[in-house]
Amino acid sequence: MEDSQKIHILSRELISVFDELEQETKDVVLEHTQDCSECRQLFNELADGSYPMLERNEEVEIKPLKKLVQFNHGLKWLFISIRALILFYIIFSSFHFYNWELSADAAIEYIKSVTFMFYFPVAIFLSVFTMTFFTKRWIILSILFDLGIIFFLDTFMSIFY
Amino acid sequence: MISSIGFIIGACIFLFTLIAMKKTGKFYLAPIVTFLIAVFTVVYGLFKVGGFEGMGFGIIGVGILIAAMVGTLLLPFTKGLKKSEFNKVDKSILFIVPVLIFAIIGWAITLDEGYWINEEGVIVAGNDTSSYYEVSTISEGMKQIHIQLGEKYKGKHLEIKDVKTLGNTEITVMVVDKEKATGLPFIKIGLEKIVEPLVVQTTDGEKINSKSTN
Repeated sequence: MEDSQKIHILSRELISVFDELEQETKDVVLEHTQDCSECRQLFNELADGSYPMLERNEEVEIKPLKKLVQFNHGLKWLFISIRALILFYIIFSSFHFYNWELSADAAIEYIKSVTFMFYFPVAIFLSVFTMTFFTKRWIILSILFDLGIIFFLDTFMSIFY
Repeated sequence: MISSIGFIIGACIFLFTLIAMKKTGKFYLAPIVTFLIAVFTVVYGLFKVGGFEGMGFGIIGVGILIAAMVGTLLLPFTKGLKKSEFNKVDKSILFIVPVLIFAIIGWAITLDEGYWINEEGVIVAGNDTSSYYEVSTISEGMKQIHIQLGEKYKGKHLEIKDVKTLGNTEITVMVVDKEKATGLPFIKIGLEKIVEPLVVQTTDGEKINSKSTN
């Protein structure tokens, strides 16, 4: 099989998950769509928001890839939910344990220490998994978000109290 | 002690990253991630915590850094590790390592009782001595609480049962009988800080008031 034929086959599969691809891979697919009318049409249909109707044999081929995309989406939401849950617990427990009117400083100190002791380790493990399963964009976003939380959650809370 | 905890945490992070990277084959990320976490911990201790307490973070950071260095030296010997799907052992490690780290954190928290005893003893019983506590500031802004029991506890002994440091400060003292004891028992304990409203009570639920309100 020629290289161009191989790229064509791969592009047909990858067009359906175009948003999930690394920039380098996107460029390869886009370059191929310039020369291949079949893939260009498929790409345009996808860009319009109408997912292409696939023939039975193609559906069987693409299924594992879609499964992978679904898995990645599920994993993303799981990671976001874990972070949200921990943040909710940190803030909720600070209100539960401390009287903010009498001892706001102690409550802020509590938020700072709990964020480091619990959010930070969770952020490490989730970031490692993000490196394993997701694109660079997601890795950078999650690391920036975690750094922001670890360094500035207490400052953010102290603004309101 | 603290640097050993840092080393164990660093080793756990290294192992976790190494196994997680089986999926991508980028094993070189394991020491890099561990090293970055060491740097982050030191930076956090320096700029976010600061002072004497921040130094503890620095020591933990050094422990993690040593783990990263040892991991880097060991990396060439992990040639058997190839890019592949996770097997049962990998999945177990990916589950156990976070649990282990949180167990270490929990253990470190429970190690810290949150108070220390500065002095304890008895004073000669007076006619109208009542139970009270008194707060004073000692070195580096830390606090000392002097708990004095009154006439009705003459000949007893005072022990600290519990000091609640999560939320407002609650000190529970236990009054025990002691043979041949005379006088009124007192105890002076040190605390890093006091979070209001401060509550001092006996195990029987009797509230002890501040000296200033007596």
